[in-house]
Amino acid sequence: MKPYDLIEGKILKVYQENYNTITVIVEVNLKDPRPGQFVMFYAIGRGEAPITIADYKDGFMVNTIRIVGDVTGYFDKAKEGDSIYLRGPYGNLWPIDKAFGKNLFIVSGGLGLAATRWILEEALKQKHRFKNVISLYGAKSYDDILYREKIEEWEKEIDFKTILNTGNERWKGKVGLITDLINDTDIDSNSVVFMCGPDPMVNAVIEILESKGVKKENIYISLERHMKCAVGTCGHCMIGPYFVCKNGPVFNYKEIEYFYTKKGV
Amino acid sequence: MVFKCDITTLRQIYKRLKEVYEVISPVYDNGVIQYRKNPDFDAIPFGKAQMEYAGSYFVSDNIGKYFSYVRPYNTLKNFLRPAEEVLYRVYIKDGKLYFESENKHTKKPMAFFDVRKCDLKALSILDEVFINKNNYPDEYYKELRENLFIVAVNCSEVSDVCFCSSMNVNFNNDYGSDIVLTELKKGFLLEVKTDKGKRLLEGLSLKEADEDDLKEKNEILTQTYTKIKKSLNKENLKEELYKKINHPYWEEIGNRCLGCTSCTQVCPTCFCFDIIEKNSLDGSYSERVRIYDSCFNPNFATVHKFNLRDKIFFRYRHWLLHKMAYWQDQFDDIGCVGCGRCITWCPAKIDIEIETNKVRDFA
Ligand SMILES: Cc1cc2nc3c(=O)[nH]c(=O)nc-3n(C[C@H](O)[C@H](O)[C@H](O)COP(=O)(O)OP(=O)(O)OC[C@H]3O[C@@H](n4cnc5c(N)ncnc54)[C@H](O)[C@@H]3O)c2cc1C
Ligand code: SF4
Ligand code: SF4
Ligand code: FES
Repeated sequence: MKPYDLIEGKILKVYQENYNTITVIVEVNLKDPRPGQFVMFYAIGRGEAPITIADYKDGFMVNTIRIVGDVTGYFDKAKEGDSIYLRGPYGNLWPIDKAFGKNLFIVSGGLGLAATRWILEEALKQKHRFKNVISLYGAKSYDDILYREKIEEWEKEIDFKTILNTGNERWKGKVGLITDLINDTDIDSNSVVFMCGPDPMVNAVIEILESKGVKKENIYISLERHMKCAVGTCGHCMIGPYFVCKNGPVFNYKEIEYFYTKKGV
Repeated sequence: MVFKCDITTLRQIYKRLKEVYEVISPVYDNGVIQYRKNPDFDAIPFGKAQMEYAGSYFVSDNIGKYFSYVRPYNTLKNFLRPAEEVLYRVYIKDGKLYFESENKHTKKPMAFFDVRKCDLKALSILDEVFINKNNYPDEYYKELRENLFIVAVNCSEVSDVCFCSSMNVNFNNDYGSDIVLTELKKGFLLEVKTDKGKRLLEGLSLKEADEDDLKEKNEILTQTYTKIKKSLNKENLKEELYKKINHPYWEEIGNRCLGCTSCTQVCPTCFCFDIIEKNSLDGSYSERVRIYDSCFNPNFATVHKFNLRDKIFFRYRHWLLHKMAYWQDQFDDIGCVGCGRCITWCPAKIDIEIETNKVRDFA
């Protein structure tokens, strides 16, 4: 098989998550996909874009796509029954076993919730293996919130909290930055953290986590970089010596810190 | 098996190669010595000498040897991973896509005639990137690579930009060549390294080489080695460069660098690419084309609206660090073979050997 061979999937369902984001359920046979990994979605004439596997079960994959540009724009008009072409799964996994016996703390910002959704579901299935599971989610506004129904389910099972940058009359919850939520949360210094969000959010959160005594080696972040090949040969996704597509997207913060904190690396 | 032959026999060998292979060898054209597909034996720039300095290049005539020029300005990657290569042709019909991938098997396999050790080492580096240390071996590269025939040539002359001797280039390694050629004072030494090489020479009138010939070859290698003036200090190179990642000197280089991408185009190990789509007007047909890209291109590392390396010095630093340091973490090797091409072809006369030594030695 050539490295860029695409496979066909069928769109089973399309949900409008919010004004610019859709979630699709794709019937496709992937080879042993795992939480943390991603696929490359192909749009004829436009190219490919990496998209997280937000969930996968028995040949059905969930993907959440924010319509921002060329490739993602193609999926704006996606309908049930459409064929979709993709390749993958690529990348490494959330190292869930590292959190067994400890507190698992999942932090997501914006679309980063898609990257942590599957691992959160996994954690809920194996809840007995952790001391506790806490999850915090920050979104821009009420209209940006993803997975409303899922969130209701999660709230019943674990300590799942949402905060909005700007609230409105329909929002009864907290308003502020995700860092405010963490400050208000009782974080065990022995927690294992899984995090996905924009770089500035990640930086701010890490600062607080460290002040709460969480060790860098217990923090894992999922990174986003420009990708073309997804198999470690085009060079686009490099951060320091790491290929995000091949060595990531999930990185141990202690390992990546030196390069992650340098400008222009 | 080691033989000796004269130029007439070399001509015969070349003729045999052309019968089976698409032969690529150096020619002199447009003022430069360059690798070309299917030239004649007589187009090989025998006797020419190459003068190369930071930012300048010229070729002069006859110095009384055959293989007196050094490596061509372009590289083997141009043939194994061409600048433009169609990965797939995609047709759309009744809402379904049909993919057709290029079939290279229908073409003649390639033979490289006259490859120098720096470029062979570079080839072994590309093999690591595309095949051996990749979870998804690149079939496009692999197909061409596996059927290669390689005639290597040991350098007896060097240019002023060469520093291969201080990089991980081993003159005594044949790097998988089928035949290794050395020009002696009288005639050529042919070391046959593979069965393929042996078969090619069958039936030719070749003399067996003797002790003296082998001794002469070793002397030539040693002499070549000592002619090389430049040298890059590899000791703790990675650690030293990592320590200097925030050194202000990078900005000084960045002020000189034009971000023109020249260095990455001529480098035999630079492998970065982009995939673009070439479409028919009605949208029913599209080609997925792999083209060279360069980490000096301004949008190379753009995420959202942010270019992670929005200053030229970030890009130069990324390039140098990739070659000299990141590569060690990625592929257990250095990504530079000291061929000096990037020095010659840099319009700003930036010299990677000088800059690397300088940065690594800062306090
Ligand atoms: C490992 C990984 C997983 C990802 N998972 C998902 C996912 O599950 N869902 C998803 O929607 N995206 C995901 N992304 C991001 C997505 O791949 C990019 O947004 C993608 O480049 C968009 O492609 P495009 O061709 O539509 O946009 P482009 O044509 O490349 O960009 C068009 C315009 O949008 C801007 N833009 C590009 N990306 C973004 C962005 N992410 N946010 C805001 N503006 C942007 C560009 O700067 C440009 O102005 C992931 C990225 C990585 C690396
Ligand atoms: S970095 Fe320069 S000297 Fe080193 S291999 Fe590339 S072109 Fe040659
Ligand atoms: S180092 Fe020289 S060749 Fe390379 S991009 Fe800068 S100016 Fe161009
Ligand atoms: S996307 Fe090509 S190297 Fe990672």
